[in-house]
Amino acid sequence: MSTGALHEPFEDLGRQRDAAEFGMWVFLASEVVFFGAMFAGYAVYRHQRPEGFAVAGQHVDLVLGSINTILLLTSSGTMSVAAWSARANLRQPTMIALAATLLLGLGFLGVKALEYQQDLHEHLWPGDPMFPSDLPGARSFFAFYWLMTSVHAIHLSIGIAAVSITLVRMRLRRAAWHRSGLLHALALYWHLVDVIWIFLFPLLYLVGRSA
Amino acid sequence: MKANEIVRRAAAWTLALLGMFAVSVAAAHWLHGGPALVVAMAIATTQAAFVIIVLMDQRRAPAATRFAAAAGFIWLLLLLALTFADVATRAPAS
Repeated sequence: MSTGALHEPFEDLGRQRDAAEFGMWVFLASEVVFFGAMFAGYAVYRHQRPEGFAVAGQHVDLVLGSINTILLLTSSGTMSVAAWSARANLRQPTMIALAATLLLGLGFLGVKALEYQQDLHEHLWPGDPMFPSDLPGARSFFAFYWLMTSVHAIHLSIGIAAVSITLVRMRLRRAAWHRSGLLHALALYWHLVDVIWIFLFPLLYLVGRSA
Repeated sequence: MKANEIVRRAAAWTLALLGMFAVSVAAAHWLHGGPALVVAMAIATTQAAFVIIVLMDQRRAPAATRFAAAAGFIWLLLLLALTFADVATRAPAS
């Protein structure tokens, strides 16, 4: 049951940590471009059909979206506590903060599931014959809504799985948690999922609110 | 760093992010059209900058890591610029 922090081909832990951080950022850069394509598509359609987007945006549940934003922003705080505690070699605070992050992430998914259920009940599916608006762009808005929020939720689920695995391995003392850069790399992924939501929220939940 | 210092530091930044979120929601109800979008994106960009620079520790990152992070956003800007250039230069449908 090895918890050795140093792995091949690295000569020392400093280089290993730098490599973990660099590798994660290269991956996150690809994620930025991946989500960027969806944001670009949204921007084009919103520019071409602003009225349809504004009318459709009023049907999105701002309360549930706000709750989710609060949960996710707070989870970035707890994940920071986990990463900084790991750097300071504080095992229990690291584990408590990871557990809090996990609960907040699960809370987000729970609220999202509730919101999706509500949206389907209100026929807010682009192909639904009882969709509430015939304005050009309204269905497109919800096409982007379902696509972007579901892809974001999938990414969050991956983050939740990674946090869970790390927590279990720390509990079993099978993780090199404070010297290998593991917590830092995990935190980078989690924060990017939060950054994506930081941009998704105003584009999907704050459209047409002043109408 | 001690645990309570870490928690205090994280809590301060989280409250700052939540405060900006509240301003964003309020502004969406007061502003109309273009200004509403500009303000919303400015607040989101500020929040993202806080997360990337402080919470993602970009201040302490080695140069190669900062380059990788910057590359992602540069490619995003290229994607957006070329997409909008395409849309802006299309002839109207006949």
